[in-house]
Order: sequence, then structure tokens, then C-alpha cells
Amino acid sequence: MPGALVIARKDLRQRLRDRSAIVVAVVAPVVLSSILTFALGGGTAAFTPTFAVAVLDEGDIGTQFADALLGPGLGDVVETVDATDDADVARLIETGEADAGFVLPPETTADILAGRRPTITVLRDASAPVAGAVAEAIAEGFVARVSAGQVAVATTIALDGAPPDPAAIAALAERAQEGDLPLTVDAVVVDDTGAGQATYFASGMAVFFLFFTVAYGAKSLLAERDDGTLARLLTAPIRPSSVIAGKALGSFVLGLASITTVVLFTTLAVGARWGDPIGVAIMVLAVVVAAQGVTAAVSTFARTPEQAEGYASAVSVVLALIGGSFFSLSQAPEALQALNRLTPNGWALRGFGQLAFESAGAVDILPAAAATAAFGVVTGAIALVRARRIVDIR
Amino acid sequence: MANAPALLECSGLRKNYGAVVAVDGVSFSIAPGESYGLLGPNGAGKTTTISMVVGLFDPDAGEVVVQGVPMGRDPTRAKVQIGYVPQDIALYPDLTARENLVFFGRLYGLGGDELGGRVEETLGLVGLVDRGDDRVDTYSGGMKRRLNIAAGMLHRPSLLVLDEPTVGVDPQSRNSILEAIEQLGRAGMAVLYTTHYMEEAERLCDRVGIIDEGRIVAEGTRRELVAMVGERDRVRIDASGDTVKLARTLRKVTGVDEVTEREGGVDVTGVEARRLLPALLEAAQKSRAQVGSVEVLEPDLESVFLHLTGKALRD
Repeated sequence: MPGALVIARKDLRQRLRDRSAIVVAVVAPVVLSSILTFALGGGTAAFTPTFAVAVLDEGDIGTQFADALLGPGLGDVVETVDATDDADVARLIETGEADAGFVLPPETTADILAGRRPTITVLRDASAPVAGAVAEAIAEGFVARVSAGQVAVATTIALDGAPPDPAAIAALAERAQEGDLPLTVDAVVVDDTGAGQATYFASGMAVFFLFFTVAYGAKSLLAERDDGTLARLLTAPIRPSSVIAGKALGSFVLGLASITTVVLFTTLAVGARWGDPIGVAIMVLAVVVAAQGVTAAVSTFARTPEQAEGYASAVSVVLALIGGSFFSLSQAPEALQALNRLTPNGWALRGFGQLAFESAGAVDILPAAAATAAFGVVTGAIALVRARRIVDIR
Repeated sequence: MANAPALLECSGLRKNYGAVVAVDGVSFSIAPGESYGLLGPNGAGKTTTISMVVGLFDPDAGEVVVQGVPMGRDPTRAKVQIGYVPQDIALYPDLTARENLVFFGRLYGLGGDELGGRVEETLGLVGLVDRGDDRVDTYSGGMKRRLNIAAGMLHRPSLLVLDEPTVGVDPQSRNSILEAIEQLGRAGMAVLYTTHYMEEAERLCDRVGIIDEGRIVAEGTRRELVAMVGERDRVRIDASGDTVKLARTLRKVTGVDEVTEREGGVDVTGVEARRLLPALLEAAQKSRAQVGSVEVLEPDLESVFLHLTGKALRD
């Protein structure tokens, strides 16, 4: 087994034996994420969403849509607030009077009859992702109902008492099968910056504690130097670079395990929706690289392990504050928002946010992932140079 | 043994720390199976020399060659031949003894059943089999010392380098450590041992290099070194009062070769010192120093060091 792997394995064994490390790496982010998830609207408890509804169509479709929302079934589990137009729906959502909303445009019935395809707009509040998802499902269900009805009506009109024309029936059937729906649904996120607090804070806490978790690597290098074990390692038949690589590998694996556990737990236990798994995996890798690079670079400027821990903790907290791990910076001054872009946390949370709230895919978050990882690469290079000095105890 | 092909060849080793010359042209060699001691007081350059031997420090000048492999050119190959036991405990306190040994064994390329067997064998050699699954932070100081040595010899090196392994150890553990090292020597493992305890060097080492101020001032077997002093005894006189005058007076006694002042008394060397005792005591009385005790010592490495450097080993 190569020396770096032997050292990484030993480090992981030591780390897993240290209960405080487990608390920082897994328990704290999971518990805090869970508390915040339940406290801020992402929980799995039963709820009654309130929808702002602007039915601007005065025809049959408008009437059917209003009836569908208020009638038996849906009417028992949702509440509605009347709105005058799309701006009014957005206002009601932003003020918290509604969790999501619908806008059925004027002339919807006429447009459908004329063969045009009007759009039902669903306005969502990203801080209430479940309500938004329910609203979208309702809209899509309504569209399906209208589509089925339209096929039936068209069939009746086409027949008009005459024997069925096989070609007309085939055309109608094909149109129905192709999903050429008479209505479309467009989901609009009303407020995407302060939103999705459940998943947002899950990712915020995961990233925050990740920095503390991976700081162990560089700190342990200093500890080994002080304890005399580094000298012993350097007299073994391995290269000094293997010692550094082993330390880096150990803390990388631990960081990866930490944030992956948080993602899995918050997904399975508290219903957080992190989004596209491949995108999440890319962001996880990027943020672990960033956290490792930053904490290692900072720690290697310390003279003692205790000093390294202090440096890394201070930097981690500052980056978390500016990066938005604790609260959304959407309402913060522009200067702070600009600073946010200078932190790996800010980019990481931006990437996770895109995945969770904008249904972004792996390709969409590559810029955020690249920016996050870039912090790790640059600071990691600094750390490497500094770590070589620590290992060179001559 | 010194004529056998060298297992370790150190030539002209030199190491500076800024303006301070820590090691100044140290050369020595060790044959396979030989025990070699570097004897000298604290600060003499023993640890720096050893650090260059094990590849921890690069010498500013000179060369270390282990079984024909230059440490400077191919450190990985050279280091495989060496087991290093540092002066301070260098173990992981949150791991058990077995876990520590398995880790260090893997660094030397051991694995599987071979590693397991070596761990048990080595734990047995240092008397820690029963405590092998206990964390090291529950061990006594002596047990840690023994495990510290075990970690250095686990991979059965051709040369075991021990840097003052008995410092701060209780007498029982010290004896246990020395016995373990003697056993390794009997098994054919070459040993490089640094100490400032003359009796350890005498007990363990086939040859001794006396090091002072970064230089080896003498080298040889115990017999060869003692012969440098001649068949002279040493009389250790503990006294209070004017010891300067005491020393001056004693130097005038016929048969006295050398008088060295030290804190709390003087040391006198001369041929057949026992016969000199009456004259020495009479001289002491004349000097008006208050003599507390008088001890006659046979020639030993301490005498050699005193003779060569003019100071005691534990100064």
C-alpha cells in the first residue's frame, strides 16, 4: 500500500475514534439542518397551502379552473385568495399571504377554441417549495383535464351526426397522444434569492461544518511535527510528499463523507430537495476541494496545532457569514453581496441553490462548481508550498 | 568486527545551524551485527549525527552510506535498512499498541500475515503482548518507551538506531530496554546507540565513539579507550571550602597525574591511586578544605572522557 494511503487510513481511523470529530463532521450539520428545515417550512408535516388566484378569463375554462380549486377535493386541502392580476399574485406571495399562485390569462377559453395555446402561470415562493410543487401539479392536472375534454368535444363536432371519418379520428387521436395540449403551464419563482430555506440552510450548514471537518488535515501535520511522529514518518522509506498527500487524502475523504451524509440524511429524513444528483455530486466535490484548500492554506501559517485550529475556525466563520450559510444575503447591501462572490461558500451555495430551486442540471452549475473549486486550487497550491516547509524539518 | 564490510559508513559529516557548528567532520562505520555507541554529554552533537544517519537531516558536508546505498542519492532504499527510535516518544496515543505497530509496519511495506506475525513477535520482545489492544495513552512512561523501540525494530532493519532511549525511564524499565537491545544485538542486528550514560555504553556497545562539541575525539573498544588513559585510577573527592586551593595542593602530591576541579569537589587521577590516599588526605587537610567523602574508581569510559575533554560526561 503506498505511503500516502497508509497515512490517510491511519488519520481516518484516528479521526473516526474522536467523538468530537464525528459531532462536527456529521451530527452538528445534520441536527442543525433538520432543525432549520422543520422550522423554516421544509418539513414533512401536513399543511394547507394558500394559493393566490387571478382568473382573468371570463369564459368556461376560467370558470372550470376556479371551480376546480374551490370544489370538493382540492377545496378541502387548499385555501385560495383572490388576486386581480399577476402582479397582485406576486405581491401576495412576497408578503407571505400566499404560498404560491396561479394566473389564468384573459381570453384563455377563446384562445383554446381558436387553436392557440395559452399558458397558466404558476408563481412559486422558493421558501415554500412544497406548496410550489403542489401548485404546479394542480395546474398540470387541470391542463390534462382540459385536454381530455377538448378531444371529446372535437370528436363530437367533427362527427356532427355523420359517420366517423377514420382520417379525422386518427388525426384527433394522434394529437391527443402527442400531448399537444391546449394549455401550457409555466412555473415562475417569485423570489429566488431568499428562498428555499429548508434546503438552503441544509446546504448552508453542510458547507459551514465542512470547513471545520477538513481543517483537521493541516492541523494534524503540525501536531505530528510537535509530537515527534513526523520525524518518525520521515525516516520511513517514503517520500516527504507522501506525508502531505496522505494528510490531504485523509481529510478529503472525511470531508466528502461528512457532506454526503448530510445530503443523504436531509434528503431521506427531512425532505430536503437537493436537486439533480450528478449536479449535487459535482458541487460536493468542488466544495470539499475549496474547504480543504482554504483551511490548509490558513493552517500552514500557524506555528502550533492550536493556532492552526484558531485560524481555520476564524476564517471558516467569516466565510460562512459572508458566504450566506447562516442567512440569505438577498436583502443585504450590495457591497456584502459583492463580497459574497469572493467566497467559496457563496459560490457553493449558489450552485446548490441552482440545483434545488431552479431545477438546474449538472451542466448549468458548472460555472459555480468551477468557481468554488478554483478557490480550493489556488489556496491548495499555497498550502502545498507551506506544507513542504513544515515537512522539511531539517 | 570492524574489519567486516561496513553496514553503515559515515564520512566527514558536518552540520551547521547558522553560525553554530553542531557536527564537525564526524566519521565512523558500523559492521553488520556490531553495536556502536556514541557517548557524549548533552549538546555534543549525538542527535544531529543520528538525524543525518537516518535521513532526517541532509548533511552540509559528508556522506552517509547504508549497505552501499548513499542516503543522499537514494534515501528510500537506504531507509529500508534502518530502524529509528527517537529520543522522545513518537507514537499515536489514541491508537492501540497493535494499531501503532501495524501502521509503522505498513510504512515499511509489510502487510498481511507477515505483518501480523511481526507485530506479535515484537510485542512479545518488549513484553507488551497482554496490553497490545490498549490505547497507548493508558500506558506508563516505561511501557511507551518499550513500544517506541518496538516500532523501530518491527521491520527487522539491518541497523537499529536508538537515540538515548532510556532518558527519563525508571530503573526497571531501563533494564528491560537494555535487555531487549542486548537481545537484538545477539540476534545479529547492528545497533547505533547514543547515550550520555557511560554504563549503558559499556554494557551494550562493542565499540564506542566519544563525541564532544561535534567531533569524535576517540573511538574504539572499551579496552582500547581505557588504555588511552593508561592504568590509572581516579579518586573522587567530595569536599567543601576552598576547592581551588585543594586542587592546587593535591597537584603537588607525588604520583598525582591530573587534578580536575568540579562542582562539590575534585577528581584526581594517578597510578595506583589507592596507595596515594594517605598523601591525598594529608594534603586535603593542609588546604583546609572539608572533605566529605573519598571514592577510588577503576578506569572507565567516564575517566576516558574526562581525560580527553577535561570535563565530566554529565557537565
